[in-house]
Amino acid sequence: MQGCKGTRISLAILLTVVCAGAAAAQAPAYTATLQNQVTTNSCSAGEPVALSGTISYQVAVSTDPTTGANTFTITASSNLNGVGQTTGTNYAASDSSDYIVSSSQPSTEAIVELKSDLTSQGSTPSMTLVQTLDMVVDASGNISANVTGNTTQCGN
Amino acid sequence: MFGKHLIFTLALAIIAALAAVPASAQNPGNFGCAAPGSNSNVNFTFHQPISEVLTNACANPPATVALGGEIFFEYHCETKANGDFHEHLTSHYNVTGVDQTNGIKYVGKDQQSSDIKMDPDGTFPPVPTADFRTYDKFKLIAQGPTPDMTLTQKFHMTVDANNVITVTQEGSPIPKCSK
Repeated sequence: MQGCKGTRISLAILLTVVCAGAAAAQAPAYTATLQNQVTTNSCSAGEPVALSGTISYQVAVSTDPTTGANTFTITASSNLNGVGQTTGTNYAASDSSDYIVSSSQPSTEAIVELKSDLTSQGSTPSMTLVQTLDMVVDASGNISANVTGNTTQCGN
Repeated sequence: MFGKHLIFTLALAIIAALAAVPASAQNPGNFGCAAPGSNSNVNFTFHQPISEVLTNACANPPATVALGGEIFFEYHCETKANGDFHEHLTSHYNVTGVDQTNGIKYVGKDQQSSDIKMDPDGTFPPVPTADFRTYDKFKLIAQGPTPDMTLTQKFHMTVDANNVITVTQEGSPIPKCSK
């Protein structure tokens, strides 16, 4: 009886450890923190906005069975708040986008744009936030990334 | 040289207009990256007409929107100082939409860019190749008192060892609902 109980506890601990491991594998590969990065405004009705928050990156790497090339699937997700530098209005942006690069090399680089609605929390118009992300990813799923540009656009 | 480009671009436009979805367009080759170390850019542009009907599931009730216009792509390849090849692709959206139930019009003029480090193809001297998929977002601005639409369109862009650049539209634009 004692032995049986011990086995059950060991199995429970083992399952807990396995589940914890699986959860960790799904955690963002990298999260960058933005602190008061001011946008370049190209919107006549808009204003520069100081952005703070995070950009999270998740990476999945697989191998093409035909070519043997690495397929890097990168998901970039923004979760940002901002303060208008002219009016003091608060803004919020939250969105994500996927980018898929196939490469025969063990690592690759992609410079991409992440677009999100920069939604006004006041009476000023909302804008579109375009962030330029410079990402380097390797076959182990490691990623380094920088936000190299923040611009805002408005409608046509 | 430019005459050839123009003739080819026009031919592409005609072929693409006749092609069924998923649409794709490509150049005939020899427009790709320059030789390593030459540090020159090679530019290429091609146009893809768009004509399709989509369901805007974000609207309540869901609406049917007819899209027209074109997407055109600008491509250039450049050799970096460290010898890496990069391809730069910009998708330009000149799209209009009409809601088939209430007649409200939408206008979209948007663009999205990406820059990818290219692969050597394994030969010597290496020929750069690329294989990239992106989910472009572009906005349709309502010309009336209805919400704007944001659409996501998946594209597959390849450059092969013969410098043939192909851009393939994968699926239809998908409306992205506001949170």
